[in-house]
Amino acid sequence: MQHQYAPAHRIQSIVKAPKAKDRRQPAAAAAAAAKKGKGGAGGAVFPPFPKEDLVFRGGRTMPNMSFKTFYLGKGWASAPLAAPRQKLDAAIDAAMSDPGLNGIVAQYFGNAPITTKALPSAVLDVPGEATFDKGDIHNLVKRLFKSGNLAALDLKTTLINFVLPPRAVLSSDGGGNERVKRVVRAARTRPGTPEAEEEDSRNGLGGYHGSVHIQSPTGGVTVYYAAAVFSDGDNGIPISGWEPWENICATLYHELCEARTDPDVEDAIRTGDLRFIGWNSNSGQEIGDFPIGEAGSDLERVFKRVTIAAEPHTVPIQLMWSNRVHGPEAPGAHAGLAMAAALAGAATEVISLGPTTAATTAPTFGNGIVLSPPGNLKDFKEKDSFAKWSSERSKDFDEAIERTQQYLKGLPSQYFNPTRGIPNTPDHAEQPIKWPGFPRKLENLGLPLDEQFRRAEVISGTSLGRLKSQDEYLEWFVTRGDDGRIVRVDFTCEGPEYWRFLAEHEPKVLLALYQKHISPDVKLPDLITGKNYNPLNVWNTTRGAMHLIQPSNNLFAEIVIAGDATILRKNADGSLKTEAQDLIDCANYGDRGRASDPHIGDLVNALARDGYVISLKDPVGLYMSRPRLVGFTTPDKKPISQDWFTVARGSEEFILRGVFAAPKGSKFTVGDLSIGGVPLRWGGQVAKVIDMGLTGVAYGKGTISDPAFDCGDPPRTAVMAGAAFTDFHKPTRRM
Amino acid sequence: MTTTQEPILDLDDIQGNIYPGFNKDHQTIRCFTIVDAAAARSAIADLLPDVSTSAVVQAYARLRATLKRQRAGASGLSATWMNLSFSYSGLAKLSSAAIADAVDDGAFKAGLPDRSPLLGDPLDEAEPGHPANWLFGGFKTPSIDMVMTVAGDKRADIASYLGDIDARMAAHKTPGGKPALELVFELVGDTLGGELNGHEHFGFRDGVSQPAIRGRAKSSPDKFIVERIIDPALSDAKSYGRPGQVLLWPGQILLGQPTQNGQDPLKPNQPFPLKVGWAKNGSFMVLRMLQQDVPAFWAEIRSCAAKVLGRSDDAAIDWVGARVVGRWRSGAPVTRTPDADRPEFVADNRVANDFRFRLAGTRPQLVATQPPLPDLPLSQADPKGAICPFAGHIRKVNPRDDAVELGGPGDTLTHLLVRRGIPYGPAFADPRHAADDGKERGLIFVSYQASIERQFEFLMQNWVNGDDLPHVGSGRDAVLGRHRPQEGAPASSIEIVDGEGKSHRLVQMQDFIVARGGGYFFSPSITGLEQLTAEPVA
Repeated sequence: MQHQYAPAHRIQSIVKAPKAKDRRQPAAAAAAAAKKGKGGAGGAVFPPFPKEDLVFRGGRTMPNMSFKTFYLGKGWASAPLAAPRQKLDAAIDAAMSDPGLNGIVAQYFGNAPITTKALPSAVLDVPGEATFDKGDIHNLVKRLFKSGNLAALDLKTTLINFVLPPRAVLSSDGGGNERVKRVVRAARTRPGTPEAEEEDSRNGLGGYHGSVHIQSPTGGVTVYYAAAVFSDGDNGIPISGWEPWENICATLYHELCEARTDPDVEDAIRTGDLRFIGWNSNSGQEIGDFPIGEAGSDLERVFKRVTIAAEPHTVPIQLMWSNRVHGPEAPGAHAGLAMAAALAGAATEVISLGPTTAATTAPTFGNGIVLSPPGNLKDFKEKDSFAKWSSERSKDFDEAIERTQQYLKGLPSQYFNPTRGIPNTPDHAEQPIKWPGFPRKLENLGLPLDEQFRRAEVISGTSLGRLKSQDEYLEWFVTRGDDGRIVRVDFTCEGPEYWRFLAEHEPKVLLALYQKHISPDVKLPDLITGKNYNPLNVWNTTRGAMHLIQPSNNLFAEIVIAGDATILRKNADGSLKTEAQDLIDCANYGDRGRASDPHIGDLVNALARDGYVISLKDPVGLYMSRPRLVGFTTPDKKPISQDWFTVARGSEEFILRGVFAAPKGSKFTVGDLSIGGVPLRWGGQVAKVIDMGLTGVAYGKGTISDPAFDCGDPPRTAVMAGAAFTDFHKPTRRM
Repeated sequence: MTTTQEPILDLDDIQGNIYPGFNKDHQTIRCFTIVDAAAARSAIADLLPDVSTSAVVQAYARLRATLKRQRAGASGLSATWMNLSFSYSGLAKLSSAAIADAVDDGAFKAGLPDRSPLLGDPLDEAEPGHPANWLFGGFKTPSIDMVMTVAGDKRADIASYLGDIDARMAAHKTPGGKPALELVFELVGDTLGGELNGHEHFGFRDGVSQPAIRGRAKSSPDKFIVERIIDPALSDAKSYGRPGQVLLWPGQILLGQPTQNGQDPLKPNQPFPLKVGWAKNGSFMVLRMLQQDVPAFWAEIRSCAAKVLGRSDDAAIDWVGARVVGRWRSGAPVTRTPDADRPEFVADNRVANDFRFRLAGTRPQLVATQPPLPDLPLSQADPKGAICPFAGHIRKVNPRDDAVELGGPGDTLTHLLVRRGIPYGPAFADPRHAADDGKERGLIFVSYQASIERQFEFLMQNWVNGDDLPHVGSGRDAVLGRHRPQEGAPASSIEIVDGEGKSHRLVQMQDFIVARGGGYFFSPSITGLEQLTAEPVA
């Protein structure tokens, strides 16, 4: 990835070159081969070394590409830099268009013709910097994109080149936080995995290429870029006897060839996922890397002025690795070539990007909060129960974030744990998410309405309709009179975690609540078997509904689905997935047939695509709306009042439990009512007019632009590392 | 998608206004009470040969289109169509309550007046929109058992045809000498004429967005009944007839046919089980007489324009009106042309309905036989409602690719219906400058669907009158919704983003549409009509 030269006297930096040499032939043979290569004839420059041949890994490549070069700093627009700029433009265009040079690279494309289009270069009027690090380069990419200067380009096949002004240092530092680097380095265990190295042009760095993912209102885009230092003196990779523009030309040639054969390498480094790689060698070297290592301190062996047919006839380049000669290959003889259109003398476009904006980076985090019990319940009697509850949910968030890291490999997660810190940014948004409480899956079975209602609430032997079908985080229990008519319907949306917590830490409270809301006859042994709370106890199944029991209905599922949905997903063509069902099919974060799961994922992923850092709003829970009672009438055709629905737990803002029953003094009961003239015979008829909801919180729009991933489980990094790995689990919905 | 995967429809057995729709400039809808069941059966049997089938109406439409193309003008053809539909009480009278129950014992049985509160109609009996005050089909008006829909190219054709029918029905009397069917109300609908033809009274082009049904005709099983013009190599070819013309499985409209699958629009669910076999190929018809207050509508638009744009000239009110509806008055979708009305967007029916809300539109590729599409801008991505507000009428009733509370956009298709409405009452020359003239005008709303609850009522209850559905914070439908406070629900509001990106939330205190009557009906197949005219089997 990096175009790096480590001069012999910088012992600490000579890492790759000796290793490469050691694995090759004796120095004498190498020297002899080099001598042969120096003659300028086409073909191999070094003895063959098939072990370093490039291997295709399945990632993207760009057989046909364009490039556009931006010269950083207004100084490039006028003397003394304008002339070298024009020479560089003409030379790199000619080099990239030369059939002889392209014939070498074309072997990686089945020897089919490859094309390169040089787009007019431009001078970018940005302030001079002493050092341009990778964060600066990424930021320039983003600013260029947002300014519209890349709008006309096909970004999927275009490389944006940045050429630094004289004396500016290029660094590959930045572009992520320290955590990223550490993880990437730690993951760098298997040969073949590209390396991320933080170096600068004072220490042998000539340039690098990579990609930046940018979210935009129309979806995400990936911009491919390269940066080249103004190699001169002790900066960059100056070749003896070459002018700086020639050094830059060779660097750009190196980066363009690597971008053509391995454009997504930066994603591979960020994620450790080898599937992003196009062509590289088993030691992780790209097409331009190993030749430099081969050359060692004798760079002229691979940095050459080669003759081409088109003007300017001689171009300064670096030789690329060629599998067919198993080493760096110089171009052979060629004739009758079309003249490349020289860009020298063309009008210079100078682009101003306006005020410099800070590089987009993940926000820092302030103090965390103690997560409240759902609905801000005040049930706890023990002092430390609140902290313990928060701690348990914190673990859920940690687990959800860990799941995102299965993909991100140390890149900043877009999901955060509120107990560990709230992002320090005033840019804060809330995303209420609502869905219908009645099971969508039942509605979509094509059954008559009555059959839908019956299936939802049937209790027959061990068959509980509620356990099987009420899967939208709302469950209800119907109490009927002796005549079979409904007397009351209890609705709950409390996760089982809270009740397990009570059983463990507050058993007296547990019992008191069951006795209050279900029956005074409840005994603690009915609820706790041995030491374990039994959520499927009789009072919470056949004789009542204290809390959610459907296996998918729990707080952990809520937390994990939101977390999973922060991972960006992409289509085969690299575009971002944006459609609800497409996303859930891709990421498997729930059941596509429900209303809730795909909708939660849809809206959370939209926030993630906007570059937010996301979590759930405290108090984390699931909440029901009041039923919409318009159209409910008593037998005398009078509308019923809101008194028919009582909030039994939580508050009007956070309803956790509601009871639908006749208010005191009413001469009617629930079974006497009609809804729009249709007799009320099932609890599901009321569930149909209740919505469920939760609220997401999002901080710092545009502060994170993580890569998007293919569908399915995360990349198996351990496979790459050749070591044992822990399998990735789909959301575990715990009871 | 191959033709063999879509069901064969017997177009000779389906009433023509269900599919493909009468599509005439004039309609008369007569509402009858059945006075005597036996005599009514005899009268209906007499009318049965006149009932216009899908096969006939479609054949006419194709011939007319061919002639218009050949002559580059009017076809010279005319036809008068007739369909019959029955309420629960009508079915019960003609057959039995048990059979009527078997057709549907939910909303259809309860009837429109009892369901009216769910639709956002006024709860206060003093208001004209309350069923107690309806002109027909309400609590205080005679029971409507049968509806006869007659449509024609000229008003005189309809009059002539109705005269003929009157004469024939006069022969069918009760034993006491009364007519078998008593006419209790007559609705007369006409297109508005001139430049407003095809527009409703507020001035906006209506009926642009209609879903199409999948299937092949029994008479030509190698062809789809709705033409597919998108390049079959594209995935959109499986989902649309023309660009934007979404394809629904016929069970969405017709009973006994494969139904729309919310999880996979390309794979139908099994036909809904029928308790009476002859209900197959029938469809439920919703009829609503909706009075439109044109001056009030434009007064509010003018007021909104002053608040949003700081001016209320014609251009300003057109700009705001386009956001309230989601289309410009010409019908041009606002997400394709946000800043100006451009009638060329509706001049080509391959363009008029081709737009999305959440994501940017993509240029459709058509089959080689199609002439090139006009080079017009595609729809812009509008995920936040900055161009078309979430309360905009067309975004409320058909959210297309928006994020929805049901899970995914595919699920919204299970709630779509087909509309066959027509305006009534005199048109204003320029509705934007209309002053109250004391005359009744509005829309005769007619929709067909396989389930009144799942389709018409869902749309009205959940989306049109839902403050938070399908998008949280959207407000109610800015045109069709109930806006005034009622039963503890506050006034509705709409959020409009001005040209500079500033958001304005505007409270809507005025209702523009008042129900004046209507009913829930069932439009049986020809087989079903034959069954109903036979002596009932106990």
